[in-house]
Amino acid sequence: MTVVVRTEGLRKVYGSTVALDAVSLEVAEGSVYGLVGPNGAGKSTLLGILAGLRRASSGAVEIATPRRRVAVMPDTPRFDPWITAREVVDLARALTAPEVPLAAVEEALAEAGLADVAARRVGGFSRGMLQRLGIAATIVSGPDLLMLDEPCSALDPLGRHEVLELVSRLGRRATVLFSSHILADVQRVCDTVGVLREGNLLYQGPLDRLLEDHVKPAYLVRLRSAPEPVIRSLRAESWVVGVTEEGRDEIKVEVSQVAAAETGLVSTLAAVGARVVSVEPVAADLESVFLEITS
Amino acid sequence: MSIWRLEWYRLFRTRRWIGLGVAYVLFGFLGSILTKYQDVIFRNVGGGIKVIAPPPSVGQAIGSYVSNASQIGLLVAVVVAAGSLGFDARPEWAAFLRTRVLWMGQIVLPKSTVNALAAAAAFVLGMLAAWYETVILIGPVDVPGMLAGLVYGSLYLAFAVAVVALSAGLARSVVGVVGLALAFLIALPILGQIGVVKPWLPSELVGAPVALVEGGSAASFLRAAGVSVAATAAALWTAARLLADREI
Repeated sequence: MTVVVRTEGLRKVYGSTVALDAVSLEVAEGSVYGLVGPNGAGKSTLLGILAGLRRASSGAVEIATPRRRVAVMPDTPRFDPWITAREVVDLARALTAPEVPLAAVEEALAEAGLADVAARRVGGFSRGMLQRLGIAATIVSGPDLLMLDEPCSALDPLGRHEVLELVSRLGRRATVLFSSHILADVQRVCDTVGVLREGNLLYQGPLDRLLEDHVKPAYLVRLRSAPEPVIRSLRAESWVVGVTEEGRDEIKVEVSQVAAAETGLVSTLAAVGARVVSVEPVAADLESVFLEITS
Repeated sequence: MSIWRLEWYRLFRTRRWIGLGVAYVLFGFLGSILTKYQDVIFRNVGGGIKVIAPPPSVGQAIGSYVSNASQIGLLVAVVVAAGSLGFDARPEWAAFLRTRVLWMGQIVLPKSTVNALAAAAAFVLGMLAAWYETVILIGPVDVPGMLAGLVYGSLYLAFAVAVVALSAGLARSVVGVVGLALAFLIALPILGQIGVVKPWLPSELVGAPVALVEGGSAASFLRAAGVSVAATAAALWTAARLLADREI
């Protein structure tokens, strides 16, 4: 595994406030790394240090990609209001990769969904449009490493969907490091995740492993009949850890052994005469795992 | 698109060039008229007070322009340059530029050069206007002296813009940059009260056009010109270093 971004014991202190504490990050080449954490966790500070906009109080930063091949997007991009969207993207191209043909500007604008407003001055752009423009300016040079700070924070659901699709596509040709406090976004596009809280990196590794490690085998049972007899019957089973009512006609069954549940759950439901609509395993989601490891 | 072009667009699309043009060209035209008709003006607005003034001279006419240009014109030039060089006042825009260059000189040099050229162009246009009016109203102007004055005056404006760049490395807000630059530029003539230092100071170049059309020697300003060139380069280099060291 080639590591593109590595930090060793990174620490950042503002006066008496510790913004980052001994953060050792590793971003593998070709990965889509999601940096998650609540507001104030230190995500922007960490990205700022990696981007060269801030200096660490101590620790080391190593970026294996040449500086010109790294593109950074701040969380709320803003530009001089009197330049056009096309000029912003072209300026980004000219500064970072002048060898890239002009056609790349139009392609980047189209990919960010701004082709129709390319000639408009950005002074009248909404926050969402500015964020898309920031993305276009970031991808125009075809970077090898992208650092995106909260790229979806100002977007509506459709815009978010489109940008996440874009991040997903970018992940096939570059390494992407992006921060977000929207866990569903991270779960959707990232293969690696780092969980940051109060300046500490609590977890770092493949997203799948994180979910597997924290998953508690459970099943969601939808019923058409009253749940009480079913709950009583299930609680009597040795392989059942807990049964909770999730809704009026739904119960969640947490089990200790998946194999026992797979053979015993349906027969237990049948024995009690329950009218079963569906039985499905509960997938682990990042939000519940996040809450678990940050609490 | 480049930062060079961006700065030209900034001057024209935000109409800052009008401010520069008005400040210099207006005083260029007014200077000679005020000098020529000063006795008439005093007679009409002086409430019967009789003012005896010497006959208007070429030096007086050019001096009137230079005096206004070095105050109002310089103030406008400093504000315009600070609006460009104080890019750290908007951190998001600063982040866009900073993460796309390998060293800060790539930002500081084009911004400073374009602003210095714009200020110098406005100064030269004002001087040409003053020259024309003076020839029409008062008398012939010494051409070599006038040309040398144009060069020295432009050199001082380049130095002033470099001071703005240096101030942008020290202060973050545009107001702070303007204040610091003006304080520095005002401090120089005060420093000039020390006789031995005076001929070396860039601020000496402000009065060069007047001295030269009155028959002064261009060589007497070479020391100030040399210091201005060196100080301009040093200020720009220091500005780039200070900006590179600043966290956003």
